[in-house]
Amino acid sequence: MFEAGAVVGEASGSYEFIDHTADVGIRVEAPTAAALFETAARALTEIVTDAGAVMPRVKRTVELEEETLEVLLVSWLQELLYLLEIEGLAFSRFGVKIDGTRLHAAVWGEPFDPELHPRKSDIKAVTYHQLEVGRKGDSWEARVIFDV
Amino acid sequence: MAERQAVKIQKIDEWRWRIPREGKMRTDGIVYATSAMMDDIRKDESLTQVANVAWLPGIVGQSLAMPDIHWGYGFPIGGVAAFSLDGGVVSPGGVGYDINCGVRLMRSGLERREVTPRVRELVETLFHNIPSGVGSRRKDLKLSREELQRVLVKGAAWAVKAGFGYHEDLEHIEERGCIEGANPDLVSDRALERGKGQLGTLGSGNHFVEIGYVDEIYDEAAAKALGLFADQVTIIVHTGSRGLGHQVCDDYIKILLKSTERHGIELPDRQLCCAPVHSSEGRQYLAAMAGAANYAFANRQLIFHWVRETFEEIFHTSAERLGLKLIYDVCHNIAKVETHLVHGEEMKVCVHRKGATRAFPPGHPDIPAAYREVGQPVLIPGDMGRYSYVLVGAEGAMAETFGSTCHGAGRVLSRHQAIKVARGRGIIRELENRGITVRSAGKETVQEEIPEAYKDVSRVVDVVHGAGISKKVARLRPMGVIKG
Repeated sequence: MFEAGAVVGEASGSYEFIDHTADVGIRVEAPTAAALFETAARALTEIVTDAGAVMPRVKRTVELEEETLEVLLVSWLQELLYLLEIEGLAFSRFGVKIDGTRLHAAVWGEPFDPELHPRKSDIKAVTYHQLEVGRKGDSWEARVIFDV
Repeated sequence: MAERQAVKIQKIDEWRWRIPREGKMRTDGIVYATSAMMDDIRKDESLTQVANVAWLPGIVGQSLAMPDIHWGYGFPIGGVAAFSLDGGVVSPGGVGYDINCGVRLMRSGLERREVTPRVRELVETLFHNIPSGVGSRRKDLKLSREELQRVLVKGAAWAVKAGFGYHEDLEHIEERGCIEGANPDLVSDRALERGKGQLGTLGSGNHFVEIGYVDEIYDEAAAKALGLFADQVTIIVHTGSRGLGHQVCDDYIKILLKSTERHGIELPDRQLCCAPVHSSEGRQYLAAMAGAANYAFANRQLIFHWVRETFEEIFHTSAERLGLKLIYDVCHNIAKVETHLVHGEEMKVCVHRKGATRAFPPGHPDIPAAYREVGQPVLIPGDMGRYSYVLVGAEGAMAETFGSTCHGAGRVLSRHQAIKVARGRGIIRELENRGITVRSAGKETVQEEIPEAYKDVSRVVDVVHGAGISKKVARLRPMGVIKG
């Protein structure tokens, strides 16, 4: 089933941080699976820096396929972390399409610059701990814990 | 998620508790803690995690937890478990994402009063010389892929050969700074890419370089053997394998999730994913893990070199004159094949230490000759406002914990809670008033890392000392800290 995210670049969803002693978790809610993935991505950026300070100047595309939607979410977030570490890019706008357990996304951001972007937490990994992705009534929900 | 702690726990003595085997557990759990600590430990999922580890096939002895226990992924942090090589498993969750996160302790010939007036300069210069924090990379250390692969094979020896530090340093590192059997071909391109630009960087969160001094000595003979004296200035480096290690863990969790299914291993938590030690995936993980561990040993060796250079710059004299020497370097996230006595027989087992430190007793052949009479040095960092400890391994560790002990303080407040508690307080000013200069790259790192966010490490250390698994040698207090 083909699902597109909302208006390109605008994640229509919400997230909150979960209190976890040694690490950081997020609980995400959105109207579609695609919007869920976009919102989770924005939450990831917000852990690392101030997402609002990241301008959408540079574009990258991400193509992934996994066996389950849960593992797909972990791989998606890991990909964004990888782009941060290797290319030094932080992203604040996301346009995700999900087809079954396949993802195609366009992501917009800019090079991470400590002069412009406050340094918050370094995320070591996206874990499978208490990982949840699924429908809840009319909307989609997810929970992910990050090792920081 | 506030789940009631359903795990049964029985007190054995002042320092030990048992989680009796039940259901699918193959053995008991043993937790080292006082009653007061156990009240706190019960508040989260850590005890369930200790019980969960006991499900794993081929576990030898019990599922163990040190007094700095808190919940992690699969294994608790502070978890120790050993598995037979024949039928037992290896699990990346029993090592952690930050493979060979560890601690190095250096001594100097300097006294506190000589360094106090220069602490601010030292901290600024360290901060300048050692990149830390989100997105930190070095521009001066350009490694080709082949060179990086050599780092993974040679570890700290690579760094010494490249001119960072001295050959004698290697004697004072666990495994001489190199775990045998590393295979860089089993480390993914992605891991190598992440590691390339990060060699020689500190990372962030609870990683740090700390200048301190010997505040109290508990064991004169052991202190002397380690080269410690009262008021002596010391330096601690705490860091690991950076993005390379995290990626190796990620990669192998994915592979071993599938292996777990293939081998029909039933798990209460998928983060305990594993494979038999002798399976090809099991061997591959250990070979890749060794590569990541060696990267971390090299990393700490490089950072040590820049610490030496920083002191040389500020004091205008050589590191030799300053007496800057490595006492010891230990891992606290690792899996190793070691020989232990099990029911009176020598047995090779795969020991997992996740937030736990090796603590070999006096006489053990793997300890450097200089320390063999007193025991292997164990470095237990506390939070940046209080103290850290130097211990030595004791016989109790070999008898009970596969030669293992605690690793640090353990958090009690989440980062979010810590930031709340720190609000409105000038934390850096507070620490300055207590004689501690802190410089941090992160916007909120200092608030996240306030002393109150951590357990009191002295309580943790008292438990391992009381239980006879390690012995207190000295206490160190911070003077200057750099953090990511």
